[in-house]
Amino acid sequence: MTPKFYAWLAHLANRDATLAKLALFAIGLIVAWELLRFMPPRWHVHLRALYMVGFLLIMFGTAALIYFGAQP
Amino acid sequence: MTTLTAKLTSWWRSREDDLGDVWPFLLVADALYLFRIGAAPLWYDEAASAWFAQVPLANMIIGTASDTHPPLYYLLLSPIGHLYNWSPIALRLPSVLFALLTLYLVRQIARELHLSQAAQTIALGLMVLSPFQLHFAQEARMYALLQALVLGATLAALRKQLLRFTLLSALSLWTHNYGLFFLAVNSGVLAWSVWQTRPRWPVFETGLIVAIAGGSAFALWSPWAWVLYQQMRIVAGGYWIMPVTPGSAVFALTNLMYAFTIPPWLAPMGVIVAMGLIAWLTIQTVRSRAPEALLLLWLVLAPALLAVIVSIVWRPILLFRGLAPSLPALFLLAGWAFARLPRARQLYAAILIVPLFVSAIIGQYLWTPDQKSAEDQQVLDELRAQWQAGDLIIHSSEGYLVEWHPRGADLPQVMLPRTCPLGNLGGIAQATREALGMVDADPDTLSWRRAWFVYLVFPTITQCDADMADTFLATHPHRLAFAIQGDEFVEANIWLVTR
Repeated sequence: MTPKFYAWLAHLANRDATLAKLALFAIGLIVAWELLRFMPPRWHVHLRALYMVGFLLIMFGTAALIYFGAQP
Repeated sequence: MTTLTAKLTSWWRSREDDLGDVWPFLLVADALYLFRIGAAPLWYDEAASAWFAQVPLANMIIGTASDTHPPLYYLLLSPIGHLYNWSPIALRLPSVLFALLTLYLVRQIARELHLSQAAQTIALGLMVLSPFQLHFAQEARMYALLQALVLGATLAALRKQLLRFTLLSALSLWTHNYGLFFLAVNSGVLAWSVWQTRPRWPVFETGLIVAIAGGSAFALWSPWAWVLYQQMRIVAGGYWIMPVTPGSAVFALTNLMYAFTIPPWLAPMGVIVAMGLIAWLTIQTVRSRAPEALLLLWLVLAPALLAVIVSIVWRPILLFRGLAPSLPALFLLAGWAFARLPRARQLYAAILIVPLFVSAIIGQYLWTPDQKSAEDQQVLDELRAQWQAGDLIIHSSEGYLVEWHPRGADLPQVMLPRTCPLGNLGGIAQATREALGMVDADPDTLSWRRAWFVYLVFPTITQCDADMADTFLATHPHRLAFAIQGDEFVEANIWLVTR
């Protein structure tokens, strides 16, 4: 095969490693969300609300950072 | 007249097959699928569809047999292409119709599973906004057809309509090799439906009915089974799909959600939301143990698992587009789960998902022409403008030969004869090239004054093929005519060669 093939394989390996990390992070977020059920009921409601708002802010904040960081 | 009106009214409201609450979704989807449907030229895969559909039937069968797909879709495309002169819009329109049919089938499956009205609405809304659905509704390939056939078979399995199940499953097998996975998965759905009727001898009766219906579908497809065996040998000899890793499985599932057009800056969020959604739906389903949710989860995960298992045990074959029929099941499951949430959380889910889908849909309209090789077609136009009598186009590989075929069939084009012992990964087999009428010829034996040498080196080409192209160039006077692409993965140039 040509050097382009091996460059492509390296690219795929990098991409897959990043995707696997992101997927693990996503699964971790959901597991953590589910584990909040086991907190005392008084905490659980507030923690879940905080968790949801925090997640939304982090998600859109990260997207904004990447967007503006990528602009020349 | 009154009778006619009465009939119309009655049939219009028919509970079995009415369009009732689905028509607004059909209208919006229709508008989305038709908007800019012809903006992009036919890219490599679509041009290959057109070429297979263009040749006489015998050549089509020989050509597909040596390639990697069954021939049903090309058979269907053939009369349309011949009738409408192979226009991209005409070739893509059947996919639009199949995608709309899929939307209708989603509603019918939702009803069959007794999902709530809210769940149906959410599922249909996600289907309409799905970038994947839009992409493959506008693609002259077999994936929209596969989706409609498999979903039709799922519905037939739920209704225990055995003949319909058999026929639709057989047709899906004749459409795409992934039809085999979906036959296995839908046989599971049929088994579940039969089991629900509490038969007297549950295992025996269920097994017998599934064996008869599934076996009949398999029997209807069996003439192609030997061909598939041969195709598997070709794939085993080397194919462009790389070994499955956890990351490549995530890539497949993420592409199923967003196709190719999510903006890069939203991609990490897209992956987290997609994988988080699948994880959350799995947990909700397992916790609730609701039969309809378990069935939908089976339809979502089982085909992907089968593809992963085959990829690990045999050869890598995990291809996200082949999993197209799993996506409506994912949206139905999401509809089921979201409909059970309080309104505030439904809104939260919408805030997470809808912007990602909408941005990928906008990307679909903006970037697909570029992704579908619009630039390559512009090069063809420029080449035509400089064309002189006695010119010849020589291709180093079939890439541009296929892409240019629909619009450049009138130009004399040949491929360098392939003398390398190993084929390019996923390249078109010799028998297929011959059936399609691709001409392999030693340029030095042909009569030409000037030649446009299309030099294309990409990752899955062998070093031997790349060397052959370099040797041809080195042995003829040449100058660069068009520089198309030059990066670490692809080098594509057109050289003007003289004798």
